[in-house]
Amino acid sequence: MSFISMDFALYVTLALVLYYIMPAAHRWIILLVASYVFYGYNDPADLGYIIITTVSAYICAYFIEKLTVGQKEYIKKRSEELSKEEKKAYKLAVKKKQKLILAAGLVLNFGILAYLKYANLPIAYINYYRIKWFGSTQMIPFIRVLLPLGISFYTFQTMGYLIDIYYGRYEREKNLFRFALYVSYFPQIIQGPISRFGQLAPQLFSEKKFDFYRIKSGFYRIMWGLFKKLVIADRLAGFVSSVMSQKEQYTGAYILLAVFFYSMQIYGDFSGGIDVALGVSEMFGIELAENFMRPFFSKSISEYWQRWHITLGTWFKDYIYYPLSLNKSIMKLGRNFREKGHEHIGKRIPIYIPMFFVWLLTGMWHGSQSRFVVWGLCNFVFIVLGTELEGISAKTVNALRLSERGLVMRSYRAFKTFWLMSFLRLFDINATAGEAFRAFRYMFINFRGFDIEKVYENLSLQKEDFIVVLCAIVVLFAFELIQRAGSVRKRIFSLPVPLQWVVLSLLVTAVSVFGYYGPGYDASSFIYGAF
Amino acid sequence: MKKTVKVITVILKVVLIVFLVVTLNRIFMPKYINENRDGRISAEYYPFSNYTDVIFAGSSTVYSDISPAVLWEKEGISSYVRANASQPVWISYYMIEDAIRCHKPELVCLDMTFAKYDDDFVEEPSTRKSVDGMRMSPSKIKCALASMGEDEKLMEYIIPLFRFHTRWKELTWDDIRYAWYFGAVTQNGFIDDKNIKAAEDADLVYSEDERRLSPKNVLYIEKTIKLCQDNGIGIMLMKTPAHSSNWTDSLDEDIRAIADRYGIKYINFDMYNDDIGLDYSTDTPDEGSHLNTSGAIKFSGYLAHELKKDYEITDRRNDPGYVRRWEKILNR
Amino acid sequence: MEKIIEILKGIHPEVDYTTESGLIDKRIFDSFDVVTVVGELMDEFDIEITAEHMVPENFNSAAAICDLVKRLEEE
Repeated sequence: MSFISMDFALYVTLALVLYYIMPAAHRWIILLVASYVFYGYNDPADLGYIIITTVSAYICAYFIEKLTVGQKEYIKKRSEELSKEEKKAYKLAVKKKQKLILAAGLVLNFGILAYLKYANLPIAYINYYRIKWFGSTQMIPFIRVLLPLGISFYTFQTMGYLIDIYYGRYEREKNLFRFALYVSYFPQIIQGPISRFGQLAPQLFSEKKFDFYRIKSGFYRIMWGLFKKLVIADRLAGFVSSVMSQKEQYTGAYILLAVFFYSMQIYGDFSGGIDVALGVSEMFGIELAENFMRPFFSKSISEYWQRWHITLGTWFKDYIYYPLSLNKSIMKLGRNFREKGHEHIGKRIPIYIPMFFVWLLTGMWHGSQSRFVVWGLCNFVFIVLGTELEGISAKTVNALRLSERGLVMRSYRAFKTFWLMSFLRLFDINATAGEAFRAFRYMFINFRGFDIEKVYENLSLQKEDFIVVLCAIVVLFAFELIQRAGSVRKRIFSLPVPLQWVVLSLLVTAVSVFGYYGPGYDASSFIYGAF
Repeated sequence: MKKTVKVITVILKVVLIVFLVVTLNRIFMPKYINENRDGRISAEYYPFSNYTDVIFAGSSTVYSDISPAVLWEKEGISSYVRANASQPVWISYYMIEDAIRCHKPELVCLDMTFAKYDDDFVEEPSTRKSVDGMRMSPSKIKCALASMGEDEKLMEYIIPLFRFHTRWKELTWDDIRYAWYFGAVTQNGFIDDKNIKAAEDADLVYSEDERRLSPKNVLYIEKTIKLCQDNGIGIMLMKTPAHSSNWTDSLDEDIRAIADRYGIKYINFDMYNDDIGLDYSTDTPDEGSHLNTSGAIKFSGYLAHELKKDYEITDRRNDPGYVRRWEKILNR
Repeated sequence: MEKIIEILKGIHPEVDYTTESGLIDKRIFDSFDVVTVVGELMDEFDIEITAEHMVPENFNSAAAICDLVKRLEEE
């Protein structure tokens, strides 16, 4: 069931009614049932995977916590007899056991994910080189796997929980069914955000009163998400793919336009979907973590990644970047360099090495093809360059007598970041890294001959659609400019009621009229033929 | 006091939403004013519903062959044609169900021309024309559910904006002008056509195929018969005249078998061409698929006589209410 | 405490560390900065900070960092 469907709207309405009819203490049960029905709706077999993750994480957390409790009791009982060293050694031994349990949980769950996502990759390579080198015509058949819905999202969320339990950050959830809800909570299961236990779980199980404000506020957010998705993103998809599939024909400005529109498309699509998820969740009285914070206003790539897909970034930061940075051998390596007088390098080793792995993994997370690895590493290189060149750039800015806080510099930086990130997305729209580079090259050779009529006629974006999409993008940026001063919805709700109605009517009308959905209308088919 | 204010605002809000949605729907639905006028037939029925003694239901041959005005003038029969291009039997059934809800007629004539198609017959534009004009009712919903194609959604029938929103590119002033238009562009469902295009062959020959009525057609023919009989309404099956070879004797057999089972009449008017006086060199606009105005006048006169003879239909020519109503229709 | 503030000043001199209590939450320190601080703390106080301690609550203010260091020194 897609988020963008009448079925989903009806499903949510039904779930909301049942949810609020239920006594507050038991409402989470409705959420659990709703989540499992939603999850099993596409393919009941998917439920198997999510149940494996749920149960395995539950069991691992159980044993990890049991060991902690046992250890505390043991030390408490013999606190007199044991020396400090002995206590430490005991703790270390327990930690080691816990580490094993954690590792088992991680290997199992990430193993499933990796298998489903990447198993066909080595097969493809083996087949490729077999043909190339040995002229073999025998092929290893691909493994037929359909990725279960949202498996990366719930796996990350659940493994984050398990690591936190290992670190002793939370007490584990003792009720298996409650824990199952934490793993499967349906508004976020398809495309995130990736929640943290400490933030989500208390909200899932707290007793909330029905508050119409939440419904209203959530509805606005859903509508805004649909606006971004249906009016902007879906309208642009056809144009972007037609340009990219015929890039030899449409060089220069067309590709530039496609790159710009793709940024709008992917932002509208992803952040719009997240708005729907957060809006739906808000109706249930549960505030999920924000996943986007006006990314196109970022002044550097590292800032951009703190504003785009935020929950994935913080996940990598907390569970990959920090543990690697603080890893003993990496720390030692850094110290070695510093002791030898390479202060500069020594300081950067615990930062850049982990970052390299983070971007490698982020690339792989986005897709199994090698172009995503290239994409991730390009991000890494850009961030490193950005940091290393900070000094030079500061000097230049000073020499030009500009202020980093002035409008000129801020606009320049935002502009630069936007286009850098947009160009990187060429890896996303093209089927291979090679094609992405080619598209980039085509952009600069032959920049002549842009004819807007060609866009209207041949590139699945008619004149009227073009105008609508430009207007919608202006509305989107205007909205985000206003948002910098605080919640736009709160502002709307402080307007006089009739004006609120005007705003809502305009929004709903814009979505339902200008939304890019449905079969389209072919007047000629409505003209009476032979019968 | 506070409560009253609250209730009033809630009511106001609901009214506003409904008004907005209905207006948008009306603006975006195709208008069918100058062409495809059959798209207006469904909607134009309602003001006349209380005066309908006879309902003709079926596909395009019904609205081009039967002129209620002729029936009125000849025999004082007050009738309405609830037909649409490519209207299958199941839509006709719900049209009749819908009509009976408001007012019981004396006789229903169900046309069989489209019963020749199979169960999976779907023609979205014609479904839209038939269903969009119906007022919101359980019959309308059931009708949509029974006729929708695989890709269609019920929601698109409840809120037609979802189906027609892409027309925003081609909206004209007429869409605004006729959004709330309640005038009539058909004459009680009759659409006249004065063109002449003679049929090629003088003799009508049916196809030799062994076509049989499909289960869905049988089901809805029987449902219609039962619905009428349960409500004490006369019911007759017919096939309107057309000079076209895509009818078969086997279909006639099947239909006659059903008619016999329920003790009702089935008339295939193709068999009475000479009695009617039809001449397919002058009486058709499209080589015999339909009748033109002159053909319709001949056939309607004949039909009026036949109905009067076989069924008890009140002659309304002495009823001042009907007379006034009909004067208005005839003077348009 | 003074030593800690000194380390922090080395990264962002413009912050008033005696009052600021949202170093992480307000994104004054990004993950680069945090790793640098942690490295210097470990050298300076001869303690072992591991991933386990990397939560915002431990780094949001100079005082919080001070608490963390004290706790780790005791172990």
